[in-house]
Amino acid sequence: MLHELILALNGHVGGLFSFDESSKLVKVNSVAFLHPGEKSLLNRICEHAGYYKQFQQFIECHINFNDQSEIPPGLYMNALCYCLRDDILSEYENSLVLLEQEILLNSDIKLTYIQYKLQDYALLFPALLQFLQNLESRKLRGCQLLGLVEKHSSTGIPTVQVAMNRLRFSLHQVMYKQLSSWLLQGTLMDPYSEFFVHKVKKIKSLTATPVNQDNEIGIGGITGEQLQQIQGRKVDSELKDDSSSTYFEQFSLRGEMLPPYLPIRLLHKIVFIGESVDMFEDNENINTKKSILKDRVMEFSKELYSLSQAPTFLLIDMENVIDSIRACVTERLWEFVVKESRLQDHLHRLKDIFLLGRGDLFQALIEAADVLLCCPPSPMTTHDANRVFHQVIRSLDMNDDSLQQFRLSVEAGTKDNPVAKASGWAVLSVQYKAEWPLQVFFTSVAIDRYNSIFKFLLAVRRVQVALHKAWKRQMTKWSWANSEQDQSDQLLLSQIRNHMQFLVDNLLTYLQVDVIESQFHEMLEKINSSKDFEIIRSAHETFQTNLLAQCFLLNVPVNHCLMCILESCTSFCTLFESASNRLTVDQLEHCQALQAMFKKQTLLLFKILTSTKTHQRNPYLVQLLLRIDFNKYFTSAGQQLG
Amino acid sequence: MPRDIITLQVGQCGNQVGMEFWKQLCAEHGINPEGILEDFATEGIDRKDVFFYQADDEHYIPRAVLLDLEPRVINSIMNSAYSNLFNPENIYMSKHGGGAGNSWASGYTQGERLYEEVFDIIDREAEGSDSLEGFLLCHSIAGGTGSGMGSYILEKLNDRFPKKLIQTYSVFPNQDEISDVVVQPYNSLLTLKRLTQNADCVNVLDNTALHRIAVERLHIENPTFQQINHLVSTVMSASTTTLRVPGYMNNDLIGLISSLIPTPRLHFLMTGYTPLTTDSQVANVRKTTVLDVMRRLLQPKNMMVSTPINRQANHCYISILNIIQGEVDPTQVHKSLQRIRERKLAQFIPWGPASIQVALSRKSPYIQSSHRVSGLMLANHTSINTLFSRTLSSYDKLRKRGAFLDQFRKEAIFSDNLDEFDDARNVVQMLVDEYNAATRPDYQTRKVATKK
Repeated sequence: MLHELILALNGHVGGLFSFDESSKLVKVNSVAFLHPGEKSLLNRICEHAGYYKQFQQFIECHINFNDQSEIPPGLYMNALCYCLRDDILSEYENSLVLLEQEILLNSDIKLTYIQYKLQDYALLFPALLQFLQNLESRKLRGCQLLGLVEKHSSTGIPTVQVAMNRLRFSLHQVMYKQLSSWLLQGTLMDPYSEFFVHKVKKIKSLTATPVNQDNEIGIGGITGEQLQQIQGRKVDSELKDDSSSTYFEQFSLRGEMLPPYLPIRLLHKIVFIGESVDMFEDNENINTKKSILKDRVMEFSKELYSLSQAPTFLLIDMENVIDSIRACVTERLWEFVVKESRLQDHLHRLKDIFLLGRGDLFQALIEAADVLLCCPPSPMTTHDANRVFHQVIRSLDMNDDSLQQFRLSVEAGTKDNPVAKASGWAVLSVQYKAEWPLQVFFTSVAIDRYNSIFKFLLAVRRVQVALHKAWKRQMTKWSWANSEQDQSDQLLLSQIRNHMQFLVDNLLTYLQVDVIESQFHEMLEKINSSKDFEIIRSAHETFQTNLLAQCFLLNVPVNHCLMCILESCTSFCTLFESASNRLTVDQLEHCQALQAMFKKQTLLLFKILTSTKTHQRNPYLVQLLLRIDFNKYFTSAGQQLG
Repeated sequence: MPRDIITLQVGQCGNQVGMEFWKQLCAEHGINPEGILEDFATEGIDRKDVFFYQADDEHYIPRAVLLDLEPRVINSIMNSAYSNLFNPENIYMSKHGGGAGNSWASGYTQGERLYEEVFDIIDREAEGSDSLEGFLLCHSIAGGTGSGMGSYILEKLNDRFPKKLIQTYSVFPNQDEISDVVVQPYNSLLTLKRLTQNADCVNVLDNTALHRIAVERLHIENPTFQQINHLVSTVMSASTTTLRVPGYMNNDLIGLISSLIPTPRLHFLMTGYTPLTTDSQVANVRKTTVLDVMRRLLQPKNMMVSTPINRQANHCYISILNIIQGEVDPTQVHKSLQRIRERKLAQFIPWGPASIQVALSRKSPYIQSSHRVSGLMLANHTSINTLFSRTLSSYDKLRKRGAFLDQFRKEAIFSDNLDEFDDARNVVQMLVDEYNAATRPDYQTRKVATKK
């Protein structure tokens, strides 16, 4: 009977013991000679057999990438099964072998002795089963297993803790292998999609949508939600561009696979390191074979290996290793991007174009391309616009080479998606092809942001140019009034033009001096003071977000208000252009309507600027207010201009 | 896009000031006195084409026309190191070389007679420019050639190039000195009329203030013409800096002056500059902040126009543009504006919005300067009319006595009557009145006598 018991405990039932499929228990059959006490003791011992059988079923089901099971196969699951079979269960099997030997030597062994010998497992097996059931019911896989193991290892039962640590150790082996190939070579060895880093699929970006979706804002407006959309979607969109040399894959964390005990900052560092390494490994452009980690690969792989061999997992050790790799990577990146690629020159050039730093260039462009872009664009417009753009560049004697990376793009409405009668100006954007390795810095998301600022600035600038023309007309043609009627007309026009020009001039000064120059200055200071690539990158990101905020692109009411003001200025300039010395009745009415409109809008603007002022939330609103209300005229004139 | 500017230098003073201006521009653009671009300047991104045109790959020629009725100053230019800089065809000296005898009327008449020859030069120069934006006239209003011939040219430029802007740098006579030109008030008055009616923007350079600055600020006991003219050229080059150095704003003349000039006649600008140094002076290198610069620019002692304090009128700024060159922290601009407003350092018009515009610009990399930061202020201030009132009152004194009218009557314009004087006086009086009106809140709604 004892022998049969040993066999049953080893999973082989028959004769005296039988396996009940429904309750998953091994039970002793009702045999007459067994005392009820013996029977219950046997049943208790046989509980182990039940568990053992279930474990075996589990292993059978999941080991060796068996894809019949409900859970997709994976490296982690495999490692788990092997650990379970070869480590934890084999220990149990060994103790059965020992028992058997003892029984063979001494047939007087009592059942209680067997129970005593196996009592360790009485605690371990239920916990283990619970773990496996949990795993199966939640269909966990890959790095998710790490979390579950972690959760179950926090227990007071020493045997369970040891077993769980073993499981964790084996799972970590897999993780560290993936991690070191990712960190050191930048390759994802992840055939079953289990790692917590993954390559993001390319989605065609929706760069053009912001304009059309929100007609209320008009030209180049972008709402906060859209920005969030763009930010949330870390997508590389410039890949529709042909050249594979500037190809840059985007990696990010796989949300469902994050091991909960690794802090998110650490995970981000891991993504960053791999990404950077990958970029340098893949690229064929490099003449001298530069690997970003260079000679230190061996050193780091040793460190990672010793981490993986450590009996217990210590977060701080891991963080230390990751940090030292990161430090090496950021320093090298800084060398490549900031020093060798002359990041600052590129930043200045981007500022010249996207932020209208070269005022003369855009002033010339606004005049030269107005005929082309004041009407809705056709598919040919982009080409023509670029021709004009380069003509202008040449006429200004500017260094053409440095501007080759910039191309104008005018999104022409297609048949299915007609860009609703928007003028070419409204859909004009600039494309920028970043040189390797600067595409890490100037991602398509960054360029999109630059473009939304560009559109806004260009709109303001165009209105300014129009107002300047009106000024010239007024100065030359209308300098001397001939009658009282003329004079009152002139005064009206002159006052409106004056106020409009004042507002637009000051708005642009605010944007260029208070916002762009100041922020740019701050960013350059940060860049100059650091050798850490990530700090530099974040400085650039802060720069962009601050620009978006301070150009009021994130503040819908102010943006809307400014757009309306710009629109009334444009209408006024058109009217002014056509008006002769004396206004006709229609013109006068139109003019007064415009004036009323302008008054209303400036009043609204003033109200917004002053009300937010009290909140102190947006200090830059006060900066604009200071400029347009410098002599308190705005305040005293009923808080309106016009 | 129109952006080229043709400089016309008329008369003795105009040519002297102009020459200093060109010296300064050449130095700032890295062009040597022969007109050849220096090796170190070939990579520059500055806009040389606004004031120069390129004869060949390395030769730059000023878009300048030099006019005088007597040869002395132009001859001295032709004998200097800069003799090959200018296009010789653009230099015009009157054949008889007698000058205008310090008489506006003589200058004006001679200008009329030489019209064809002078405008041939100007026309040719204008045709040679792809995108002419306007003219810059350097002259003095007191002498004969600069004032008389200058006036004639102003009138004709308006007819000939109605769409081009005309900016002048006009030197006003020193009121503290007894002038050897007795008819100076006549000359000034008649020129002021043209500056009012025919120019778009007049930068007033007051010799009184220039002398005071030289004596008090630079500690030169008897300032020479050269030293004074150096001050002028500093102001001229600084005020054109945004046109010549690529930047984000004020890239053309119209962008520069339109925000300063709200209504057509209020187009007389004062300038201020800081820090002022001479070549010989070894200036101590100091850390200068934007606020320092902007505050100093608002101090009358740095202004190139001296206006007595007039307690009757509440004079105020109509507009201000500060051009700050050098390395400054742009975040300081806003703080400085705030300070200036808090401390009420500048009084502005009550009838419209006004503020201090600030343009940040780079310094020329080719000039070693002991100052990291320098600032120029272009200001439209109502008190400029005290200069005109002064001219009016000295004119009235002379006119009452009927003094020195004979030499005017000799010329065609005054041969029948002296209506021209009365008309000019009327125009200048209106100008003075308009500036006075601009100090009051009802300026935009006031009733003005219309032109008869």
